[in-house]
Amino acid sequence: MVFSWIRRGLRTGVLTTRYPAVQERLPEAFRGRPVLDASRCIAEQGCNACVQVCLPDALSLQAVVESAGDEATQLVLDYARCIACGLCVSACPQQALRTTNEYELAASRREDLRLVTLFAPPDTSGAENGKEESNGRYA
Amino acid sequence: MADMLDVATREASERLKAKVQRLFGHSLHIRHVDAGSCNACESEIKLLLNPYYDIQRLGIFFTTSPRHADLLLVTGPVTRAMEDPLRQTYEAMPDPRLVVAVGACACSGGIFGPSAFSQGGIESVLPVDIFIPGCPPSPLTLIHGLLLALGRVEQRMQGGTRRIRVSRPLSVITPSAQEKEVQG
Amino acid sequence: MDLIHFCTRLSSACGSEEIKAVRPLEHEIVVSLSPASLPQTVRTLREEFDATFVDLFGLDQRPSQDTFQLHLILALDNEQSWVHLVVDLDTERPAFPSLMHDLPATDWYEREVWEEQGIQPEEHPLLRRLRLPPDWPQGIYPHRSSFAWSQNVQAVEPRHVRLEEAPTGVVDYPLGPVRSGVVESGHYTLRTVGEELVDMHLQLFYKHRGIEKRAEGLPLPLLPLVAERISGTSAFAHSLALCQALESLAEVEVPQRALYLRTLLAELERLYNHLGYQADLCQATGLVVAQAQFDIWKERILRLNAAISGHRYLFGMNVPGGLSRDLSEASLDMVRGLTTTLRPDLESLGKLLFDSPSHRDRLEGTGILTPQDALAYCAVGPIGRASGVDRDLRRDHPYAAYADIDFEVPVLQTGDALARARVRLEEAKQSLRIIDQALERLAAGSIAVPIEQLLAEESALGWVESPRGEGIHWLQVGDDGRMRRYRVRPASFANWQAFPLAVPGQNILTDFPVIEQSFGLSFAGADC
Repeated sequence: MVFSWIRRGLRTGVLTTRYPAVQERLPEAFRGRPVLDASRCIAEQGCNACVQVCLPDALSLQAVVESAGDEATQLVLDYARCIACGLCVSACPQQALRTTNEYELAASRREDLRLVTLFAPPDTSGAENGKEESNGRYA
Repeated sequence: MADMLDVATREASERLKAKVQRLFGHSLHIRHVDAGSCNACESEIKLLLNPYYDIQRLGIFFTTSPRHADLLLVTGPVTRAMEDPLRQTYEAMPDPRLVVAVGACACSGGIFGPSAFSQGGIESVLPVDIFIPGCPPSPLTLIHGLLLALGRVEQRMQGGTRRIRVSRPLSVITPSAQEKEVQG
Repeated sequence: MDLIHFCTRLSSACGSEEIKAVRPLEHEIVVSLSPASLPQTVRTLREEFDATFVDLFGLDQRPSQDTFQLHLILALDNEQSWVHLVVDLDTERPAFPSLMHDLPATDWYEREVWEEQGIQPEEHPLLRRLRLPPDWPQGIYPHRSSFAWSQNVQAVEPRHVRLEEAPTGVVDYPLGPVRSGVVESGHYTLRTVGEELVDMHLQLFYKHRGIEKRAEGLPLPLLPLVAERISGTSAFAHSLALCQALESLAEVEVPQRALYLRTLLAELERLYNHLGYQADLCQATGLVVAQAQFDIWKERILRLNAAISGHRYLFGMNVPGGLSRDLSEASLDMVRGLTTTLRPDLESLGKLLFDSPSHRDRLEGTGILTPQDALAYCAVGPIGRASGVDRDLRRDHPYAAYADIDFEVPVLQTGDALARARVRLEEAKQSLRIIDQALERLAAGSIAVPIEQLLAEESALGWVESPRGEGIHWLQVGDDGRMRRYRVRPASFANWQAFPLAVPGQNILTDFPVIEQSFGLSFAGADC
């Protein structure tokens, strides 16, 4: 009996992943973390379709006041709360959200899982309007 | 990549590395505690021992005694009844010890959030070293998280703020913003 | 089923004039009666109409109406219907006569109604806390409408339930809630004399997250997210029961393609659960290679789930009205590919498994749940079927596409761990058969029908045969179109009540892990 099991085990061969030595890929369809294409997002115009359907409150909209006294809108995406349900993706009228099959999502600080997109008012003094400027990096 | 990390992240990473270097021989013994999960996270964690993932090849093992454990792996939002058992398990672990939150519930409460029934994640109960998001996180995500705890892989998620300058004047989002007319 | 005729028969059988037909729904007969006639009505339904007790729960009707209500659901398998008893209770002193004397299975349900609503089950033999944690104060009833989800409930000195002091020569082993291995939290106290297990105390509900309360006030599209997380490994089953309840409420017809795909996906869920179950059982008996072989199959199915639906546990597939996404031809080919390789392998694995003496010897005669106990405690699913309870919702109350599909329901009488393992292996084989037929009959078409606003104050019943057995959902919609009350009775809640009965009697201490794994129940489902 023991030998039957051993034979079976040997016949199965090696199935083990070589991650992290070799990068694995999850299926294309895999619903992992959502990402936002800010150029399509119209949150600053009052749209909160994604926030409305987000049960764990991973997506939230806040009004902020910048140092210059200007009012701005920020859309926060908190991956520590996100359950990757994909409802935000279908709710977005601009198709600004899509899910990815990324899986290397762990972080040592809670803040590292919090992505903020700040829609700043037009600036007459410096940077070109309609352009993106960033002080953080996205994975 | 190291010089792209901002100061705070680099400091946190150094502290974690220092803790980790004191763990013997880069092998890791994990004590898991279920603080009220839906059991999908448990299912994924158990699968780490199957032939597809075989985390034992990475020197990672599960132990039943907290006294023998280096890392506390927690699932669930911390229900009221599990708060004490969770804390007692942590306190029974000798230093150096790491705490890893597995899944949206442990990281933040997930769909439960803080409520009359649970804490809204383990952060309010224990100091957390690694957050592994997902609902549930797949076994590969779990492996990434555990190896991150050991300092054997890089962190990819880096948070931050990006500013988008919009050419139109903005309407500020307030609770009554729906009724507010959007300016030109 | 003629409602008036049924109520007349029931009335005369109970010798009561008070039974009023309330509403005939397609498969649900709602009957209104007074608290005093409850025990006799239930007895008559069980003895003369062959009804099976399924669920008992409370409802706080305030502020819309000034009453409490007790709801009792029984299954009328031979009529493919459900009898739903509704009892209006006094607001000042809500109470009803306990049903435990006739039916021990109502124990947990009555305690729950008492602690969650403050409804008194009169002459309940041992009334004490069930779900609420040990530090929860008396007099705070979470299922009363006045209780808010985020309410701050001040902790009190924890009161734990314990076995009375063991006499000399008797040893108690307390295990949990933090237990060996990667397992869910729950507590067992095993009482032994020498090696022999003589008694056990089961303490669950460490994982009570308040699922039912969480659903209150939520709009329709978000409800499946809650249902899926009752018990993640039965996510598809529970979201299916919820969606079916909403669909019957909205009186929509789910498209054929969706019905067949739902059947297919439900069976994939059953398959990975049943194969993982065999792996867990092999871990308990130390048959390591067999454990690996079954875990490999479980992993393959989860990967298939991810490839065809985006989620390893099929989260996000069921929506009210159908499915959220279609399965492509390529996905269906992947399903075919898996079932083609699994079928012969399952045959040979199963044969090898039950021919392995080291494994078989530990299962045979271990943890016997007698057919009488299984009936008295209303054991459901493969656990009930291994102890002679011949019930399966897919056959007896067909939903999705099951009415058009041929399959067997394996039932054994021995009730030991071996019977439970055999039933699940046989069910896995039947799942493959069902998937084949679903693939064959799948036609082109839409996968969802839109659901408009639901009528306020309406309620509906949903049901499913989840991998662990019969899951029951009941919901009531509020006047804002959102969920007002959500009741779930997962299979594991029913089965855990029967579990302690399988432990004493010819079992030794080291049999306990085998008994536990042979039941293969969900703690999250029971605690929810």
